[in-house]
Amino acid sequence: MTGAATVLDIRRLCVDYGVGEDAVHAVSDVSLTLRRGEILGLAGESGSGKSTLVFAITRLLRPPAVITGGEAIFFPRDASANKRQNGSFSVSESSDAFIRDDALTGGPTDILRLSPANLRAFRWNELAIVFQSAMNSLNPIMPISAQIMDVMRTHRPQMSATERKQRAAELLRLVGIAPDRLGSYPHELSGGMRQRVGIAIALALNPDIIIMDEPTTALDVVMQREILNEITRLREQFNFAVLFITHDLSLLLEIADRVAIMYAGRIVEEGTQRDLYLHPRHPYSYGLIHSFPSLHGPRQRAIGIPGSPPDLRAVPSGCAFHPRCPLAMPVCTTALPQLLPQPSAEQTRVACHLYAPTATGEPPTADEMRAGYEALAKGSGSL
Amino acid sequence: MKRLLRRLGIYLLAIWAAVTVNFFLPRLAPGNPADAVFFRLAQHGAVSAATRKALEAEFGVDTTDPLWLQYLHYLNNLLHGNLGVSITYFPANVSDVIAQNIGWTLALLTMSVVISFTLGTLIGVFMAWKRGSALDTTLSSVMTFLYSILYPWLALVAVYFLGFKLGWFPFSDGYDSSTTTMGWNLDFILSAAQHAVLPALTLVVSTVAGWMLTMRNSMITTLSEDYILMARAKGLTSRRVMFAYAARNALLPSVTGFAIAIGAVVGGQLLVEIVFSYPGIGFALYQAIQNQDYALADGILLLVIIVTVVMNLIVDLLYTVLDPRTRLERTA
Ligand SMILES: Nc1ncnc2c1ncn2[C@@H]1O[C@H](COP(=O)(O)OP(=O)(O)O)[C@@H](O)[C@H]1O
Ligand SMILES: [Mg+2]
Repeated sequence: MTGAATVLDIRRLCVDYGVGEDAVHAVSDVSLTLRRGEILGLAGESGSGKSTLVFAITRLLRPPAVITGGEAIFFPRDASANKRQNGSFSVSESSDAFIRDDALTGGPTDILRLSPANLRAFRWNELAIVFQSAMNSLNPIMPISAQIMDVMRTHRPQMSATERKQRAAELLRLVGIAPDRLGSYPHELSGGMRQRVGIAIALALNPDIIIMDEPTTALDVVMQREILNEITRLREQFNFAVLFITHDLSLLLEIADRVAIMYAGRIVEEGTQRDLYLHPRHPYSYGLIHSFPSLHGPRQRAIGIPGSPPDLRAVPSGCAFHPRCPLAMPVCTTALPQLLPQPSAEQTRVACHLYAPTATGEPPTADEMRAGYEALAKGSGSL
Repeated sequence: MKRLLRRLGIYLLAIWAAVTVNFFLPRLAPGNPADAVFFRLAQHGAVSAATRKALEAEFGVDTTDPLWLQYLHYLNNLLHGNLGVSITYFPANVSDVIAQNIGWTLALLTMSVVISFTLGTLIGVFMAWKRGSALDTTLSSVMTFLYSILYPWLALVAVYFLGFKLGWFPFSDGYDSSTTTMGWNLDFILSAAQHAVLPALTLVVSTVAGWMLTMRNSMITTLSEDYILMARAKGLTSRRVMFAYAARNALLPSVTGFAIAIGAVVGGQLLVEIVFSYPGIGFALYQAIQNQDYALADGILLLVIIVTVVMNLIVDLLYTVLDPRTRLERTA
């Protein structure tokens, strides 16, 4: 995926809940780049601002949330590439000829500044969302067929009723649901099927980006696995980019190409899936990865990150993680670490004083981080 | 379906209970109601022996029949629509009196309920959609004020100003019997419509606030649901999000609220008929009570109960239509 063109560039995004002194900074200075066709994972404990970030870049925030700064630049498929894509699609996928009519054909556009009309056209055409709980995100009193087809009725007015219906059946088939379920209501489907319907709706207009906010959190492990496989398969077939959000890092490490880790509204580490898995640099990343028993690697005891995520109304000074960090230094309590590229890995960025160019000692090894966490656990155990 | 059948059973039980209470009440009353009625009837002229017999049967006096037999007679009479003779409208049968009046009541009731519910619900939808706007805050306070007004008071104000002072609308009777004759002619329909304005207005104004506030609140709750967020994310038009997604769901509590309010709605209707001397069963009930016309009062009360129960049934059916979750699960 390296070198693929950027499709979404989030730049220094800041979101507050409320204004003035009491404002909660739920997203602070977040920059992320999503490339065409990749799965970018965003992990963080609950309350770290992941959903707020999603709602900000999709313009779905409700008061008291306010975007206080930043941009979310969408890069439309360029015209020539577009033709090529369309050509190849119409060979393999008959009804796909309808699917792409370019709502945004200009250059890069800031989603946060789209006019209401352009925003409506942008939505679902270019960016679709799969919400956490399909039970709650599907309209309980509307058959799923209507909830799939109203997207087409709004965005593809040239499609006839029959074509809409065909496409809806095709979408259900794509996610492994028998088309005779079209007339079903959400409550007549199992949790896993509802989530598949959510994915089918997201695919309806063949968007460039699908954001998935905890799409498997409400499901049991077996169902999680099936849905993940489904997502991977569909991504290969249709080549959309995914921003996959979860509090479960182990899940991300399985399907994401790149992973970003969020803590208290900020990105603390970002890197390829492989690099992050093998060499987590931020002590928080290390803690997250090793807080569940490893399934593949050498057997190691799971460690625990002591304490709980900060209340965003009172974020610790300096690095927000320092009260829980086994390797905290005096500077961590006063200065905010910058998210900086690492010489050791091309695509990795870390926000930690241990890795700053000005740091005096060597960066910690994995063993040192583990030892630190174990010492912390012992310390609290003897209290 | 099963749910509906069960509800139906409950309604039948309710009607049966009302009928039975209706049978026993006069028998428990002190004194001899049959004598009182007989005396009043005698003032109208000769009373046949058959009438006397019917009266005695109705009140269970001067009869050697055991109670259960009387009860069976009573049920049998009811089933044949035989509710006794009205004193007020002597010698008309109670069932004939009711048949004459019920049309007026149902017409006024349906009209005012439909207008009030539709109007209130629509305004509630828009207020919630524009929550916090000047429109919303102004309407909220006006409607809360209206909500706390009693029907009869509002009816009297309407009679006094719009009817008596300004003379815009007639404020008694159902139509002008001196210039029109009842039937399917334009004059009569216009006259009836004109006479219905004040009573209907009173009913609508005093109930619209309730529907509106219910809908506004339920709409605000609905708007915070995830499926509204998803509908917006899909880029649907605001009209579609507002009606097909939000209002359609928010309507469900309103319909439940409607079922709860039916008693009050019917009660308000009866009161308004009395204030406006509207020729419905409410006004007839009022006259029956004034004339100690037991048979007519009994008959009307039974009818009111049946109307209330039937309205409940309609709301139940409506709810089943509106909410697929109450229908039987479809199997794969
Ligand atoms: N409606 C709200 N009002 C005030 N603060 C909120 C609101 N919603 C969320 N927050 C704050 O934003 C933080 C991030 O929430 P969220 O984005 O939902 O986190 P995540 O999706 O990572 O669990 C929460 O910790 C909370 O403090
Ligand atoms: Mg969340």
